[in-house]
Amino acid sequence: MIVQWCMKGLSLPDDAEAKAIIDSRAGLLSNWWRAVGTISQADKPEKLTAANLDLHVNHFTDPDPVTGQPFCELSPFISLPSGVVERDSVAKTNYVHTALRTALWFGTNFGASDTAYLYTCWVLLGTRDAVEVEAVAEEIRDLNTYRRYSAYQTEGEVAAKIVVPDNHIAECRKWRWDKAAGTFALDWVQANPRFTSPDTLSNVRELI
Amino acid sequence: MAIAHMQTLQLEPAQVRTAADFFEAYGSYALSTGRDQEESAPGSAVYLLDAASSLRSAGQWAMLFDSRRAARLLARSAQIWDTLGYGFGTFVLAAVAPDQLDLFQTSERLLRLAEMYIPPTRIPDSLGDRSQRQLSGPLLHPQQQAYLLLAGASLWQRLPMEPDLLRVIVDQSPHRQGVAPIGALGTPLRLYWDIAGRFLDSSDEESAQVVASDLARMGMAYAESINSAMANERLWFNAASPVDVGDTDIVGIALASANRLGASLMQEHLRSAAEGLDATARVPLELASEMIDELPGPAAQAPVLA
Repeated sequence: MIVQWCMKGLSLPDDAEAKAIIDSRAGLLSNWWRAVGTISQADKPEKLTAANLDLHVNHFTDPDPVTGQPFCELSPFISLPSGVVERDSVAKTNYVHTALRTALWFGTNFGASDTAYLYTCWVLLGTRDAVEVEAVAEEIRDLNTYRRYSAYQTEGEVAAKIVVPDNHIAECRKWRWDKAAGTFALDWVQANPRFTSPDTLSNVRELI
Repeated sequence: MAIAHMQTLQLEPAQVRTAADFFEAYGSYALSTGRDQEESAPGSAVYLLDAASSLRSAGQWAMLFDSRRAARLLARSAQIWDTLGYGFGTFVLAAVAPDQLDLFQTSERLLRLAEMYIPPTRIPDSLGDRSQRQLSGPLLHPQQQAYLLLAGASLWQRLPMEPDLLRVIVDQSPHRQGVAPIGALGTPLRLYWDIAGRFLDSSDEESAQVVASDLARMGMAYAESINSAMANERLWFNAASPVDVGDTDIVGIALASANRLGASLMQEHLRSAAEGLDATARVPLELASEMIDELPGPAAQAPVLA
């Protein structure tokens, strides 16, 4: 397993809604969970499939062949930028994907808004693809597992499943983009008091 | 033409401008905060790579509506890549702003590359002990060598080095037959090597024709890439697809060709090569043509060295 830090960028109407994501203790919910309100364990296998991951990544707004609704409205996956600064990849592509830049672009609703709310969190990644396993996120990277699955994956993106638990979220940061001045500034930070460090999972036993 | 390109690509002009503004602002932010952080924790260059990547994105988007702004942004990005030892930066600078290129540093890097294939006696004494010289980390990658070679070959008349040494790299490097993918389109490496060889040839007319034909083939690969990326409508219409909408490699090679072979000759062959291509495949060639029109060539920017 790999512990992967990520940054989720959300465009939200106001600070209250942004803070409520932490205060509610609900975590970062998938659109599926938010849409239906309640989900059952029995429903999950039908949602966590390779076909649905393909729809999530490549056809996010297309109609779901089962429901006819846009797939995004009921997607069980949660896209999370994680960044890629791996040296060999940079030398081959002349490009670095950083989580902050990607999260800001998504969080400002692709530049439509001048504010973005960014949630710093961690997920567990498997070392191989395991779409059916809820506990691990899928790595969606050109250079790794899904290279042949789709040629158009953004490097440095992972897909979490169903929910990112509340105690995986370290904090929420509000960013402002001053379009006239062409600058970015951090407005405020709200830490999550229930955050659990991924160090908890470390297999290094300290000497006592 | 700017509006026509965006119509072909089904992109809203306002969204394209917003993307350019966003990535330019982010690039500046990354540079300023990174410098501050480096003062407290020296050594990390990630912020430079972040800024260079963002400015490159901004430049690519600006290609669709403002060639001069695109050139300025790409030059800012390329300066960073070049400073960090990436041949890509040298290539982009040689293409869009040859006056900003450090010709002596570029020559030194090319000599280091050439000496992998030539006897030590041909290396100038001024470079010192061979055992103390080595390629920078990025230039150990064949892709970065290809970009450096293209840059050098396009400006060989201005470089303070023997052109024969460039010919050695073109003819003797195993990468002349390389198939490793390079650029956003995953073009086989050997095509870049071939183009560098064309820049060293004396028959400008034939070279311009062949390079324009190569660019047309890259334009077809571009169209395939773009059409596939359009499948994800949310990412595409929001300027968030992981593809290069303004292709730096096609535009850079076209500009480098114009610098080396002459703007009017290259324009003529680009127009000819674009005939028969579909509208999407023509976009990068027409963007290149617009940038050739807008930018002064090296003759106006940098003196030829004696």
